[in-house]
Amino acid sequence: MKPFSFDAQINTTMADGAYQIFQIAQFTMPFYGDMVYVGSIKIQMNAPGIQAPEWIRVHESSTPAPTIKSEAGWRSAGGASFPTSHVPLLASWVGVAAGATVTVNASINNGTGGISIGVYNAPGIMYCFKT
Amino acid sequence: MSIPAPDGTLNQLHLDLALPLTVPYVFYDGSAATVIPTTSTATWPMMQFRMPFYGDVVFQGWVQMQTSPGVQQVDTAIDARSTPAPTTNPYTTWRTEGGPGQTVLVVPVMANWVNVQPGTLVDIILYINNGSGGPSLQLGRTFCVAYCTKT
Repeated sequence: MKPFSFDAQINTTMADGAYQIFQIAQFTMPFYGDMVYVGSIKIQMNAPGIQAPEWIRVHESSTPAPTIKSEAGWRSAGGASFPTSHVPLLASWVGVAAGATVTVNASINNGTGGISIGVYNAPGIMYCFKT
Repeated sequence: MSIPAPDGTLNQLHLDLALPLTVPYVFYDGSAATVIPTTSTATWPMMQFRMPFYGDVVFQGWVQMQTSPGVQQVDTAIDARSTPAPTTNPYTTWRTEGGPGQTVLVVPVMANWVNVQPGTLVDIILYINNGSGGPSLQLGRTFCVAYCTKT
């Protein structure tokens, strides 16, 4: 097993209704095998209000395409507060070729008609297993 | 190790010379000793073990914390004073601007070590900086796992 750790600094703002894809990891697979990614992405509301970003996940545009990817939604109904959250990101791959360039993308859909959100860093670890 | 797939089947993965070590949680009892005052820094033990063989270590954990009402900015990391010194220790900055509410957050922390000798005491220390002038910070639980791999 060989792990790779990442801490992608995204530091951007997503407008109300926006959908974006972010690169959160990239490395070269050291041997033939399977992979599991465990990470998270930090988001924050930019103003008080009701907010429900959806489909926060490792995106299928990742290369190679993940076999399994989690999907998490985040809902916050704020009064005067600006909630911050670390949303988990999970994905797995099987049968990845040695020497393959692995690129992991995450997507966020802020399309539910709330307010803008800040998107910050995405720490995570990719565990590579020989099979 | 196996992980469940959405359809209920299992993806079987094979550990290759890897030893996972887990600590389900370390519970802080909510006493004054687990409160970090405004503009203060603190360190806490998060995991400690002896390296079973020559190799590398990767650590992944999470820290639960809660603010009092107010504006709060906290830097959280694996402390560079952990032994042996970590090769990488990306940190997470957490900022919340609360009015009347109290915010609870689970913050990720990570670190790597390479070429650790067998028998070495690996002492992983958590660092928190509540230094931006917000309210006090209450620590909750920690959740973590360390993987040791032969190299």
